[in-house]
Amino acid sequence: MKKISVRNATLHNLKGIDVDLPTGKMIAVTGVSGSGKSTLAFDILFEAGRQSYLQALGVLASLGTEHGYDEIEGLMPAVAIRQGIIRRSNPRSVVGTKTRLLNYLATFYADQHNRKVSVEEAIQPSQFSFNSPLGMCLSCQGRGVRFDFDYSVLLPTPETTLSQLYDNALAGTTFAKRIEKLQSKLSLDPAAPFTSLPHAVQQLVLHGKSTAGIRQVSLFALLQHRLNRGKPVNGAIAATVCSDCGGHRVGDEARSIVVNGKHIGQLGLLTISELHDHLLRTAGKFKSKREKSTGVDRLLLDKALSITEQLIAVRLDYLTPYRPVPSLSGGEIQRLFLMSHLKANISPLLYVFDEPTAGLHELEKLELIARLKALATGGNTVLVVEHDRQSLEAADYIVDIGPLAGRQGGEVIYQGTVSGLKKCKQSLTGQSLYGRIKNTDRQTPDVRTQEPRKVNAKNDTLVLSEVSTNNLKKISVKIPLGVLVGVAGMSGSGKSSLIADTLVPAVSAYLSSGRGALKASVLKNSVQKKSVPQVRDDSVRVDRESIAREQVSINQTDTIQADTTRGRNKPRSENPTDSEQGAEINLAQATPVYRSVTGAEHLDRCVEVSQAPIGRRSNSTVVSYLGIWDRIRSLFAGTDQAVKAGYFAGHFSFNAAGACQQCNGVGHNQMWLGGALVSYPCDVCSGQRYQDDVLAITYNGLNITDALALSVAEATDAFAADKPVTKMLDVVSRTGMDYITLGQPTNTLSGGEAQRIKLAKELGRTRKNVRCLYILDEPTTGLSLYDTGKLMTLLHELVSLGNSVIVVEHDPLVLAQCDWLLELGPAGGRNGGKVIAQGTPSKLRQSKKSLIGEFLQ
Amino acid sequence: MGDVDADMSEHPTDAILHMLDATAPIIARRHQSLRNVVIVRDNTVLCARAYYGFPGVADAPAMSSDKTITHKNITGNKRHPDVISPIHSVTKSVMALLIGALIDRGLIKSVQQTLLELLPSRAELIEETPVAALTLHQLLSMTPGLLWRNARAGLEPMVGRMVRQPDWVAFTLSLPVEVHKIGQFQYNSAVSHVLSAIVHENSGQQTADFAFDVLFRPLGIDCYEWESDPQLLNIGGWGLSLSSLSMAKIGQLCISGGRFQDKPVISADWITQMWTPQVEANSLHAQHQPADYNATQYGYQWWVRGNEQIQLYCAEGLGGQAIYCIPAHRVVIVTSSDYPARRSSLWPLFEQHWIPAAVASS
Repeated sequence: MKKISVRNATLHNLKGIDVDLPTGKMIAVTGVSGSGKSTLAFDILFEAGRQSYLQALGVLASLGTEHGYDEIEGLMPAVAIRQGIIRRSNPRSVVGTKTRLLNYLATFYADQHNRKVSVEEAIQPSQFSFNSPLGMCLSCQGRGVRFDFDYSVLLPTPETTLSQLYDNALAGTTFAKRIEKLQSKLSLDPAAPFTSLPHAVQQLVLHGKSTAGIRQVSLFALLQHRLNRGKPVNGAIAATVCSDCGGHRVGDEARSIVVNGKHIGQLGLLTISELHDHLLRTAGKFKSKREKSTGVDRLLLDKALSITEQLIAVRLDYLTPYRPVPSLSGGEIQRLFLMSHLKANISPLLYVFDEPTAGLHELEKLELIARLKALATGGNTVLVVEHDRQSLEAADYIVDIGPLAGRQGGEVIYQGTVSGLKKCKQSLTGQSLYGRIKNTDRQTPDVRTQEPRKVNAKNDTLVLSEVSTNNLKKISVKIPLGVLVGVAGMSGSGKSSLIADTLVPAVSAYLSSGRGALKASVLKNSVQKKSVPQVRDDSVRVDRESIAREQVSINQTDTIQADTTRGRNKPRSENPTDSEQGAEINLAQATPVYRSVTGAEHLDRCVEVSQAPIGRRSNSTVVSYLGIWDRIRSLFAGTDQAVKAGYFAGHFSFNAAGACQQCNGVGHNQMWLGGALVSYPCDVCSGQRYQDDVLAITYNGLNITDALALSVAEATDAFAADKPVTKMLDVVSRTGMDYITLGQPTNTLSGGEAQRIKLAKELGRTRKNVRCLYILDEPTTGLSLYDTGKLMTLLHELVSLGNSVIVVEHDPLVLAQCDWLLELGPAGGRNGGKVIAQGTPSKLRQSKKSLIGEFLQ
Repeated sequence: MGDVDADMSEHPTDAILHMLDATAPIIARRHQSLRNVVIVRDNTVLCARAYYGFPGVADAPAMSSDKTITHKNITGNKRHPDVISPIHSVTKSVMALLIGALIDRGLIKSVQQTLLELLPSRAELIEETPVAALTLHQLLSMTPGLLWRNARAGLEPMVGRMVRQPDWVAFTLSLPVEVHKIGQFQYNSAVSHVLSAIVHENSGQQTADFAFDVLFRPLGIDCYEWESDPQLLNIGGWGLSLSSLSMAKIGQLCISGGRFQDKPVISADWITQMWTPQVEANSLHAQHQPADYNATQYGYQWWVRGNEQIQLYCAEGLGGQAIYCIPAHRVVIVTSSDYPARRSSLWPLFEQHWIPAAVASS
């Protein structure tokens, strides 16, 4: 048997392990989070494979001399698909550009146009691209949505003054000094109403200007930026579908060129399956010679069709080409990239996948696993880093790294076939997999009643009636509160449409209006006092069906407003999500379409904890996100040494005074060498990011760089004296992430890790007597079975404190532990959108209509 | 050049004659699209050459009338320095002079006026948009932050999008403002077209008619053509056709502080303002960035280049149309070329031959 042999791997926490992997097989690498399985799969096997072929091509791939292993034999060129690497926050990156589908369509449209016109009138493909100034709708700059001030929020009365205007946009505090400066410079009366100021001054404030003398930031640009970043803007600026392009993103020229009844903007809003059918019909016209063919057009259509075909094959048929990549779930992104490889014909290669089945229904997993196995049968070696039971059972070979995370991991606990794993008593994975470790107890008593939780008529309920957002078929759902509710269903069946696109905005709108608004503002103040920002979703959520349909649905929203005006819950603005909580970016998000929501009065807050990446800058770290970095720096600044040296907390920040002067606190420099960007440690601070004088100061024997290198578990000991720090670190440990280091940049966290960090932050500041509804989308992505158990404990804890939790999930182990389940389906897209089953897990097990029931053991 | 029209004969100095000999083979070999080179010093035409694009005729003598054109049968007299041809983006620099004429006449107040004030007929379109607050100064210096892109060799792919629109000015005023780019140089022909709209709206005349009244007639330029956009507005970014000798007159006007034949045409203040560097021009124009010179700068629709020895004020158009003013030496150098054609930068000729010969003659 041919094999890949790794000898004495010592990278990161690996303890000199030897691994032998059979080639041409599907191999699963498993273990608890942080055990070192990703180090083996990505940092050693993939890196070595990548470097060997880059060197063969004459590209200098790395300057690193330390590989972290003695020897690797039998390796082939490697391709890796990893969530953390793929996730990006650029909202201009959409499914159609990532897959190059839109590029082929643009070339196709340009070709169609050009063969009908003279050379001078010929146009380029970029004139069909919403990302190019040549093709974009200029009104919305290709976004499909436009930003407009809501003057009823900014200037509620004619007397509103300049600083009140900023306050109304929640920018008053930030700009207090600048407002003063502006007022003194232009000798404005601070009490004068904004509307009484000269027009030029008003324009200056609203739209900014930077001419000699005065430099004023545009409030419009500022608020747009804040909205994009998901920061609260109090509804002072709103995003609406662009009236020029109708959400089609391209300019009128591009929209005027129609092939087979549709322009390219319309194609961008079709679902992949609709687009596939449309392109097939278009291709049919060329075949039947109703359209004259140049040959090139067939080629381009074939290219586009092969992409849609592959997207359908990986079950992403419900996405649209215009769907922004940052709004995709971790699993969806993974499959988006998987897609192009499932048809690759080069072999043999080593494929390394990071949880390819994440986000898939049990039935869909089977199809994907079959494809992965087919890839292996074709001569490739397929390595999956997985926790999923079906994948592990399907693998030809399993490597379990453990037993625990960080320093307590890094050993090979088991390698062999799945049957051996079952018997291996040392393997936490094997034991969890086969139920020998009882992870959680669903019957955690309620703190208030001290009784086991039950769902019955006594529960408060949240009722959404006649929801038809996206593909939902006018469904009405009753969600019990104060318990753990699971929402299941195939990909694209409408889970997100119901929860993220309807329930969250509806509840948020209620909470920020009327009685709710009062509560929300009280809460906001308390939040501000603690200076802990809100959990928020940085992603741009965009309607997966069709923005164009939104125009229709806006009218329907009007009826909702009419309805709700009669009731107590009157949404404040046209866009119900555009509230304090819903400040989650909702550009071009599906407009929630529903008749009414009742029961929201039983809630005080609604928090969505998503898998969207936290920040895109590498100088945001885990510890700064958690809000305890300031405290830790103060601890350092409080040492005798620091006091003597006159150092303040700012000196212990690598973004501020303490930064190494040479690299500005980055720790490394980058150099462009032979086609690759190579980074090397800063020669002044050797990668420590700080100045030597700052590094000389120690707390409990650690300098500030050492502190950043601590894992959460180690830091709990090191900072044991400080309650607020240890309290937060303790919560992080309980989410199963004690292996993570304090200084890890947040943009390198996997989607699952980011979600748990957000959850930990939320848990670390739970208040009593605030009834919160937590929404989690696929929280178990990236979690081993062992870690899933830990997460479930936390969720149960939240519920037992009187909160409500809704998880959108595929994992049967999680669903089985919920108090109540809601299953949507039966399939995705047009064939979904109905409630096919609801009730307790045991009820679903007996239900004939439920598709997930049989997996709930 | 008091009577340029009457006396177009050359008065070459030795340096010029030497230069003509030295450049002839280079032009014949590498610059076959070059049509005219006119060098004027202190109102005197030092040279007014026509080149015919192939060896052997490249050094044809200067002409003062059709009789001297020996190759009429091949090329006609279309290469005569007194025959008009498109000056492309040199039009922009003429626009700057027209803006000066508006200010001189009090028709507009200052370059700090906003578009909302300068284009009342477009108020409805631009009100409540950031475009309303853009100033004339920003347009003149190409720094309004309007969304625009450059391609290779300073070409502007967005121009193609503009010219397919029914209303070019409306299109330009609808461009998004990239706020962070306000103040940065971005070469933009559409912005110069808006200048034409400003001239039209504030003079109450067609741009070309206003130009004739305030500029061409005082300079004795009676032969010109000016293309228009679909709204019949004369194009501001290009579109004007002038003869090489007329271009030389414009250069002469500028180095003389706005006076021509001792009569004021444009105020000296405006010439100074127009030639004051406002912003560093970006690298997309690096091909025009001579090695021994400081970074190229942009004034009001004029390029400004220089080093310790020499300061040049340049109007440049696609394909080799240029007015180079060297006021310190009272010299103007004009080139005109066919376009499109195989193009090589004329800069080596300017740098090594034309400028040294002209300066040596002063």
